[in-house]
Amino acid sequence: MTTRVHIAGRGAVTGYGGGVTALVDGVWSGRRAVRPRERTLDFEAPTSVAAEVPRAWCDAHAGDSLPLAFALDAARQALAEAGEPDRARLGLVLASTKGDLSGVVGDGDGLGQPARLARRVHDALGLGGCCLSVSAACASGLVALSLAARRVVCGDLDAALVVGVDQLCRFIMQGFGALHALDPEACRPFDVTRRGISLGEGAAAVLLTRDAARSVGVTLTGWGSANDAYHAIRPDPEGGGLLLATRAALRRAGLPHEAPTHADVHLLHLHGTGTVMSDDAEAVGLARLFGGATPPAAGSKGHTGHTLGAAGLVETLLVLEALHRGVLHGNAGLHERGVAEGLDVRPEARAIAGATRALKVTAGFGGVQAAAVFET
Amino acid sequence: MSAPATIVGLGVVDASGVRGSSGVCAAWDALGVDPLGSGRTYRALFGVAHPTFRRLDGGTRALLLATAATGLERVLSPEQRDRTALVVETERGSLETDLRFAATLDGDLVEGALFPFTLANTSLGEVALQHELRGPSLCLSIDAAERGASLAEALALLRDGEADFVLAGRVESLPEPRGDLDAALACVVVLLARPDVRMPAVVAWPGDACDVLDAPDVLDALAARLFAGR
Repeated sequence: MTTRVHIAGRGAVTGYGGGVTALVDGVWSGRRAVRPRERTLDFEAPTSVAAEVPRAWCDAHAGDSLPLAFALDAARQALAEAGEPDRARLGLVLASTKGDLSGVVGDGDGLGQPARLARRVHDALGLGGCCLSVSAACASGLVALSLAARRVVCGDLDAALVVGVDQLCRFIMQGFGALHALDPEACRPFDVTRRGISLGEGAAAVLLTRDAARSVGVTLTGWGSANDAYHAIRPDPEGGGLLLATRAALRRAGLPHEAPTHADVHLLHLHGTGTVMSDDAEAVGLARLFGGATPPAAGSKGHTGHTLGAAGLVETLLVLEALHRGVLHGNAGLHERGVAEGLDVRPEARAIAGATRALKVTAGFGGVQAAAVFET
Repeated sequence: MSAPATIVGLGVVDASGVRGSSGVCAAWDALGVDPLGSGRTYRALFGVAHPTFRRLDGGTRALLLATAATGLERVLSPEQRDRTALVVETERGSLETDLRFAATLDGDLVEGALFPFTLANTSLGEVALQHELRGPSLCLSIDAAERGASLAEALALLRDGEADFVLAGRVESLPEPRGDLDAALACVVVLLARPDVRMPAVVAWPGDACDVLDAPDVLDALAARLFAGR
């Protein structure tokens, strides 16, 4: 019998502030955390907006570097919800694109290695298990989740704390700006007028365990990843890697994987960055997976901004909430569909009667595609 | 106890040159180039051109050269490459490129072309693209305490059936020291096959798997074992 991986704890620090409640209430209310820039206005970038963690939260956590503060707060929320499990047997898997860059663009000691940030989080929390760091670009969160799940299933760990984190800084914003990947205004994923991403920041944490008694009622049943092997930063326009990753996740979950139907997957949570190529490739790949027409689908980067290494985990929290509420949130910024017809995205939130199973997808530079299946 | 994987290829790049189980063994001096080579180095060593090699950062070039030195092109069929994963660990990550990119932030033109390579993960994408590897792709940022994590993860992927083959290893490239990080140029990769896939080993799996994975420099040890008699 396959060991089940339960979600036992959740935590978040996002553009909506600290806490999972602030995140999900913000997203389901349709309010956007993508706002005019404030803290990041001290440098130029070709966009007027970002989903910055509110200044009041940052001021209240002065002392630690922001990435460390984000990660610790999200992690502590997850540990509390999980009933404070024995930390001596708890491993950490941290997902981040760049960790702490304070020593690359300033006088700090962060040199851009997620492992260093992970060690600080691990030590600050007093964890006794492994300390691993995944840097898989914007797919880091789901890739970290799958790594942790593998360790829990095989018994290397009783439980694993998976934390995704990234901070907005000049390096990141001007980098995406130089790639002409930023929407000058708030992003519009899947819309016909979309022009690029809106960046966000923060952290999200999920505690995985084999202990069903600690479960919040959702199980991670499948995971998979693949590489497009198409281009260093552009996605395969036919969604080749996405198909491989999603089919691997569905297979792992014990579901039909070559031609899944709406009876197998009740809702889809999208990567949906807002760039022309990425949204197109995602729509094409998912429509192919479902034989031309997907289950109800939504992405959340129009709400939260693209939180990079944290995105996969921030969005996992939204998947869990969608399953709990039986309601899929809307797609902020979408007014007129600008991608393949087969992707069932709508601007507004909608009820999904009887939804118990969700498929989550992400993608990142380097051709990485990742997917996960969650069930209540 | 049976070996957890078969080592079907091994490649090394360091300050002295490139060598691997493909049979390639070349010193930078003999090639007439500085370490990591020029635009023609990839063709000179492996007989095929790499159109962007000269523009790539050190870590990506080292990873590409070490991968090709394993003989992967000869060992794996196209179908097998759909089931081949990439797992690479690094302590220094893309710091070399991070610093180059950061230096352009104060200039007139921010170097957008450098930005994707500020993710070490993008180096794996270049390898996947060059060899059409479509399995899981995973870059681990490590510190000294987690050396060998790529091998542990590679074995987990094989054990769980998520891949039939894994190219696993470590890459470190930093021309100048920075903070507490020393300058480095080293890349060791092993091509692993699931034990039930019948393929000849280029070097025996050394002893008990747990002992191997507990050794921080297991990759270096494997390389030393392979090249000891050459």
